[in-house]
Amino acid sequence: MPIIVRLDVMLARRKMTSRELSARIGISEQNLSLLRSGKVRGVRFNTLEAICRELDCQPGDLLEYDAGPGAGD
Amino acid sequence: MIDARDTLSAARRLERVMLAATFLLVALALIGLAAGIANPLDMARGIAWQGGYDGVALTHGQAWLLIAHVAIHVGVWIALLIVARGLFGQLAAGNPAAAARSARRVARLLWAMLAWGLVSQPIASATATWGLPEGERTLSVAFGTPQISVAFAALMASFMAHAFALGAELWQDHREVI
Repeated sequence: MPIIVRLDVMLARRKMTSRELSARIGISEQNLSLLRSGKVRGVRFNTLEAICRELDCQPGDLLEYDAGPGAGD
Repeated sequence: MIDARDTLSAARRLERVMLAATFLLVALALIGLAAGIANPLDMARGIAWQGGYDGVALTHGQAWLLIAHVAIHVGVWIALLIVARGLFGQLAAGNPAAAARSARRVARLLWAMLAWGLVSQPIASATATWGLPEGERTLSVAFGTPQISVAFAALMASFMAHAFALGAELWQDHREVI
């Protein structure tokens, strides 16, 4: 999928662990791990909103479009 | 997020109901079978009486054919209850894809029940009246309220199976959206 999730980068910038973020936004660590690795079909707006609120960032800081050789997968 | 707890607990209750019904039917079938083995002629006369053929003389062969005819009916019912129990069990376990497969099996069994209901009536009537003199033997075909009810139930179950399959896909999609 050409959408790359940059949640790891934002977590490192904010010096926050994924466990802490999952507790703050109210989703399981397992689901957050799936989101970090991009192994999900989609992200709900309310999840995105909660992540952006806790990490003080914009959706564009978390998601990136890369139309590379894998585009259209 | 969708909260499926009410549905899951209702499915768990229905699974227990189906299990109890299966045990009850199996117990009744075993009692019937024991009675049939002990006195097949009496049992077959009872079956013939239920079908509207009162006081017919039956040989042992006819008696066992009539008992087998009822046993197939009961067998289909037991299979239906077992599959229905599996359906609710899989729903209770949160596995809608497997429940959708069970729903398709329930629909197929209901169609089989309808087909056997239509085929069995001529067989049972011919078997029950085989010993009567020529001109008094019967070959009857039944298509009334019971058959229409089973056909309607089978049709509904087929549509429900499709709805289950669609629901399972939606549930999977829902789980993969964080």
